[in-house]
Amino acid sequence: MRLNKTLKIIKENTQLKVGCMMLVILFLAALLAPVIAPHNPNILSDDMVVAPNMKYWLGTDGLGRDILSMILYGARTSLVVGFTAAMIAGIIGTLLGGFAGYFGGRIDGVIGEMINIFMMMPTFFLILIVVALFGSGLFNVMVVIGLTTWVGNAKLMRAQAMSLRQRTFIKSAESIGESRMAILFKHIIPNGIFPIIANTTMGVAGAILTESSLAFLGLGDPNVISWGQIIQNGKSYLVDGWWMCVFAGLAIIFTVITFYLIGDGLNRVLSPKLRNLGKEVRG
Amino acid sequence: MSEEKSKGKVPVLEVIDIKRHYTQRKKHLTADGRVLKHAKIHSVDGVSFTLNAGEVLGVIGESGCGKSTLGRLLVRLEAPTSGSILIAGHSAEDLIRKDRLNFRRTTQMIFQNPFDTFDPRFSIEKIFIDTLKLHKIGENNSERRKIVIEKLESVGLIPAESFLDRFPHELSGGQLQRISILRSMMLEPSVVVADEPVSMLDVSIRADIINMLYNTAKEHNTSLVFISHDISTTRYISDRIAVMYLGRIVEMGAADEVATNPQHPYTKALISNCASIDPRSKHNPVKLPGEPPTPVDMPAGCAFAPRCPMAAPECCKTGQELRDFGAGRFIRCMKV
Ligand SMILES: Nc1ncnc2c1ncn2[C@@H]1O[C@H](COP(=O)(O)OP(=O)(O)OP(=O)(O)O)[C@@H](O)[C@H]1O
Ligand SMILES: [Mg+2]
Repeated sequence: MRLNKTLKIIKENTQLKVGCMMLVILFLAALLAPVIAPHNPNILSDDMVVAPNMKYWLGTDGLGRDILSMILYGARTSLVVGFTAAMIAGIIGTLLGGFAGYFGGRIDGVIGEMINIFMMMPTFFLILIVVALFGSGLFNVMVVIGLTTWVGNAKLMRAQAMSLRQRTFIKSAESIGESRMAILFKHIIPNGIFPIIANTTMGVAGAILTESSLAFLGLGDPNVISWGQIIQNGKSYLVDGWWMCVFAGLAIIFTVITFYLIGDGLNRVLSPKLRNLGKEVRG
Repeated sequence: MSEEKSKGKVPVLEVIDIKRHYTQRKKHLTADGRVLKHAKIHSVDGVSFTLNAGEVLGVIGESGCGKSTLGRLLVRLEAPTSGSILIAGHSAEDLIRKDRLNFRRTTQMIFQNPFDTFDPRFSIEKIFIDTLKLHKIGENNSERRKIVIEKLESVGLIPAESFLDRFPHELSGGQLQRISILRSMMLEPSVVVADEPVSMLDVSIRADIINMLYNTAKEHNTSLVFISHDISTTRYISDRIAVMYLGRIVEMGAADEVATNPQHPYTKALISNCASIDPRSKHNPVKLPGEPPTPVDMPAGCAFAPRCPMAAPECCKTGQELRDFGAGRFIRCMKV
């Protein structure tokens, strides 16, 4: 019932439909990388800087590694980083925004200041500094991206909470005796979460781009294969090895577009019907 | 009633000079052209009354006179700016600090909008069970379910099981309001505030809902504060009526007395516009000039004076006290 309804909504929205199909491709690539990759992406061969041919579909890099296999494995890194970082940002943003919007007063003042500070901060440079100081392990990268990109979510959730707290069912929950904390987690956040879901989806794309940028600058995790790293290695072969940068770049663009489409689609599907979403989903 | 009185003189609810002021963020332009930056809105501006067990107090007045604000203060959805509310002789502020759940059980509110009273994501069953669980009523969920079914059937929501797994948007306003009343009454409150409980419902079912509210309140000897625009309904259900104007009670007394023999010029105007109570003056209702003003920048004298047909110069100079005219009748007017 619920699944049918969801599928119908996805079918009716072009962005969502295309985005979801692209996401399936991405997932399959990441999941099945060990099966479908034609070569081991870590093995250095003697076929260095080979242009795309029948053996190496997307060519090889300066160390003789197969680009296609690296891109397939790189999808894993990108997805893990994207989802984890966006999730961290989503949770922090939801909690801080929810507290600020529902409790108001001094709590709102403090959190509002935090939002302002983080909004003014040049996030990417902050990430650079942290990664430079604390090392560029994948875990560090994910966490620091998450910790610096929650502001948009917090602002959305704060606005949601401020409008929800005027609603009768929140007053009714208060007068029936539920604690403010219970109301925040039971009524405010679940009823206000939809714009954050859409925004977090777009946040996945942002996080993937940030991770690629870090890797491109040589601040990626050296122990994992990532698209940004392929580009970084490939940039010295730009003239006689264009395929290295181009295909990895296309992979990044593909992924970013995927999450933007889904995020935008979700926004369109969810926002006008926000109020009777219960109706929409339950039918 | 008589045994209640003999128990002691402590009323169930005692409201002592409560005020609730809001600070307006926008700039406010006063009538005489001054600009106030942080204008104070005197939504409730010194209301006092007492309520005995099982008594029904009707609160009437024009839109914006502070009825809903008063209601929210009584159930402590908001704290008053000043003044105090005593529940059975104990300060509400202390009660809620000591034991929030217990306080919530003693005062309950029925809201104007039944369509928005429940979280849209929860089924009726979850709404009830959660409430009972919160207040530790019933041993386990199957027992709670039994209680709920019994209650639903007692107010004609039959078959009760068919309501349990439905969601609020699948029910009518009347059904939702019954459920709202039931849920509040399950906590056996001593005071229930009903803020225009039927104004959003279809005319055909209003009487049923009012009767249900009245009967369940009587059954539990619960006191009722009934806020309404509808004077004839209020008269029908109330023991006493309080008339509010700009955040203050201007007249209070036995329901029939106030309705048939209004003394304050504002009450007179209000009643004369309600044909079903006073057929004689149906043809010449008292017209009040102007709109009810927003309670910002309150005048020094009587707040009603600018619109009062009986106003004399001295009315604008000194404030009016709510004077006791005996037999529970209070009037705030120097001309009476
Ligand atoms: N949260 C608030 N902030 C600022 N002003 C408020 C607030 N709540 C109420 N007011 C103001 O207080 C006054 C009284 O409002 P209230 O809702 O109590 O009136 P009411 O008598 O219930 O009116 P109605 O019959 O239309 O429901 C109004 O002027 C209103 O604008
Ligand atoms: Mg109101």
